[in-house]
Amino acid sequence: MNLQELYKKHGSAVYRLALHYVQNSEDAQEITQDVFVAVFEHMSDFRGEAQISTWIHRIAINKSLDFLRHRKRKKRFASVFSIFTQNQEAIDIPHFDHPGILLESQEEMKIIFDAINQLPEQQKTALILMKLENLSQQEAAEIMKISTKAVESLISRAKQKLKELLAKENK
Amino acid sequence: MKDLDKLSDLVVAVEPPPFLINRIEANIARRKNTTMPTARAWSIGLLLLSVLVMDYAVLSSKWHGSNQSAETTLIEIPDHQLYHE
Repeated sequence: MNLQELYKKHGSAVYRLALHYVQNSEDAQEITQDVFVAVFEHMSDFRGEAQISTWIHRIAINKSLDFLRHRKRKKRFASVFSIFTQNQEAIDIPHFDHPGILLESQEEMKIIFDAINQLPEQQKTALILMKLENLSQQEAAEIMKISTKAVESLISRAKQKLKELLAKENK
Repeated sequence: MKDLDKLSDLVVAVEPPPFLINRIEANIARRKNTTMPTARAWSIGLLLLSVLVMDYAVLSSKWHGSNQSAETTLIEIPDHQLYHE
C-alpha cells in the first residue's frame, strides 16, 4: 500500500486522535505529518502481527504523547527562564482549538479536556480511545498492548479521577 | 455535568485539511534527498576512520618494534656473567 492510500484510509483517524490529545488543529496537523513520515520510514519494520490500523494508532499515540512531553519541557524551561528575565510572554500556552467540537459545547468540552489533560498518560489514552473514538475494549487493548481487564481498570480510574477534577472545577 | 460515557456525542467527525498530504509528501521527499548525502558522509567517515586506525596500528607496531630493539641493545650484562667462563 502506498502513502496516498494509507493516508486516505487512516489520515482522518490519526488527525482526530492527535486533536483529542493536543486540542489544537495546528499541533494536530504537525503530529499527523510526523506520524505518516514515521509510517513511511518504518514500513519495512511492520511485520503484520497486528492490523495496520492498530500499528498506525500506536504510532499516533506515541507521537502525540512525545509532542505533549516536549511541550511540557519547553513550558517548564520557559517559566524558569521568565523568572530571570521577567519576560512573561515566554510562556506559550496554545489555545483550545478543537474543530471536532460543536460550537455550543466548546466551553463545556474545554473544561472536560482540561481535566482529561491532568490524567496520567495511560488513563488518558484509554479514555480517548474508548470514550471519544468509540473503540471497543478489545480494540483499545490491542492498540495499548495490554489486557482488556487492564483497559477496564484504566477507564474506571480515569472516570473516577475526572469526576473528582470536574467536581472541584464546579465548586 | 455531561455523562462521561457519552463524550463522543459532543464530538463530530473532522477531516484533516486537504493540503496536509502535500506537506507530508514534500517532507518525505526532502528526507529522501537529505538521507543520501548523509549515508555518503557516513561511509566516507567510516573509511577515514579505518585509515586512521590502520595508520595508528602500523605506527604503534613500528614504535613498539623500535622500542623493543632499543631495549635489546641496552640490556646490560652483569659483570660476573660477562667475564665468567
